[in-house]
Amino acid sequence: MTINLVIKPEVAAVLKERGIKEDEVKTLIDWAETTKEKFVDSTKNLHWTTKAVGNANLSAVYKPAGTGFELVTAYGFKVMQKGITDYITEDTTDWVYARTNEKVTRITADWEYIGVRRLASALGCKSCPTAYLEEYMATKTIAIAQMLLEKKKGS
Amino acid sequence: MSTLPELSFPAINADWHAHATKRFAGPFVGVNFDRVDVDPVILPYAAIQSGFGLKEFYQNPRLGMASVCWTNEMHDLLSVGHWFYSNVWMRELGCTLKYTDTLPPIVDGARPIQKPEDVDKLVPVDVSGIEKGPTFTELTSGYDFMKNGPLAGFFVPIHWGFCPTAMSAEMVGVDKFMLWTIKQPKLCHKIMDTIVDTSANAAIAIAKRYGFAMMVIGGVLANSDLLSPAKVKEYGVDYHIKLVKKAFKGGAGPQLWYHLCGNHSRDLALWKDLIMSPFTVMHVGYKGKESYPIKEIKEMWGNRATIMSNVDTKLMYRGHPKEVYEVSKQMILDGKDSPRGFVHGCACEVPAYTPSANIYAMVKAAREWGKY
Repeated sequence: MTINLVIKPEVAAVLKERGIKEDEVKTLIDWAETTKEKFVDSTKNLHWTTKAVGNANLSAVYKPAGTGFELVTAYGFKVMQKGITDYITEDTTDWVYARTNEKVTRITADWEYIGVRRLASALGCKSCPTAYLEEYMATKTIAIAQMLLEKKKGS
Repeated sequence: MSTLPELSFPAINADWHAHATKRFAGPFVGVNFDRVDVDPVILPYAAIQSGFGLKEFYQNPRLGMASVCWTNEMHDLLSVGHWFYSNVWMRELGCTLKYTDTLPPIVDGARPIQKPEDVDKLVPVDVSGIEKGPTFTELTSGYDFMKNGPLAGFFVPIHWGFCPTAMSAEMVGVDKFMLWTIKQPKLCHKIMDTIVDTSANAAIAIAKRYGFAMMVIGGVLANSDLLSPAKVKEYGVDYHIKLVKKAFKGGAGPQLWYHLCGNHSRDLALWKDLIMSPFTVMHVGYKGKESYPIKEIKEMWGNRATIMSNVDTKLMYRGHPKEVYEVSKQMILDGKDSPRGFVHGCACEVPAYTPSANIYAMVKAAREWGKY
């Protein structure tokens, strides 16, 4: 692991609250920088990557800082991507897929959790292999959905 | 009869509720249980069946919610309660609501927007303003009663914003608004932005208080009878997307019930671009004057969301049980294998004075043809 990553105290506190280790984030960003599997928003100078790690996914938003990067946020979610059903190409964003420079738009992806498959909106593009769940979707909508699925499945 | 719900209804049968809860969860977790669930969208029908008036249903949310729960047990329907009406969050924007014996609350008197210049003064109500307003106060009196009392098992905090187009039209008057969609589209969009931002803030306020907020959104005025498909997209679909995005960012959801009321014969395909969550229900009313065929809804939406059927509300009100049973049977046979789940329902809220025999006809069809 070679990257230099600055994590400010307020971001470190968020990581702690979410149970995310700094080394996991460093490994993720290192992988994103090596493979270019990331989205880039040049208007805000932000980078965003996401990757399945074991039975969950880890996402990180970061920006260049000095010879390395500064972490903006990181979050996890447990639903696993199983496919993409719709590309809503007119709902555009400022993100582009770093490997192809393709514009990132809203998509509808198929997700699986505890054996249940349901759809949820995310961001992606036709050449992106991965659907990216925005932080609010992952930490609010999907987090509650995961809890309700656990409860309903057990009811 | 008491208007205190605690004194008006016996305790709910816990065994029935546990069974109904498992059945209700089925479509969403991919494990169908017992039979197709039935949701005729019970609202003041419940109050009438319980010996109260339609006006009381809306003026006393605690009583209204309790009567829905009781009626759900009576007819073996859903394990969750609900209570809503269409002209919501309007008082916060300057409208006056009138309660009548025959209709849900209607906007009464002079509209807040009389002339184009009034539109410039419109400002969305923020979360704090919503929390202090009459709608939230009224709603939370019912929700707190549900959450903290014997009906807690029925409680789902629901935000409803239907229909952004119709609510915007009420701010001006429907005729004038429809004319403005052609002659003054910028004004219409300013009104709709205000309505949608206010409604999203209301969803956020509910989520803030209760941890989450199921969203019920209707495309009532944005349909093929009144608008071209392009206008349905401009004034309906796009604002649904804006509303849900903003509300989700503030913590609302994850449940989404899209209720496309009225005729969607020319515009249904446009709605597939809506924001989706793992708990999305798609409910479409009519294709022309007929219930939208379930086979077609299943083909378009079955792989995307839980779908809900649509017995014509006129049939529920005027038809005989045999007709309701036969229509229900066909809908259930067409929809029960929908990949992401199926619920048997009415095209819209069941009319308040529907014969109870017709609700029974829906349930009987589900028991006999909707077995899993």
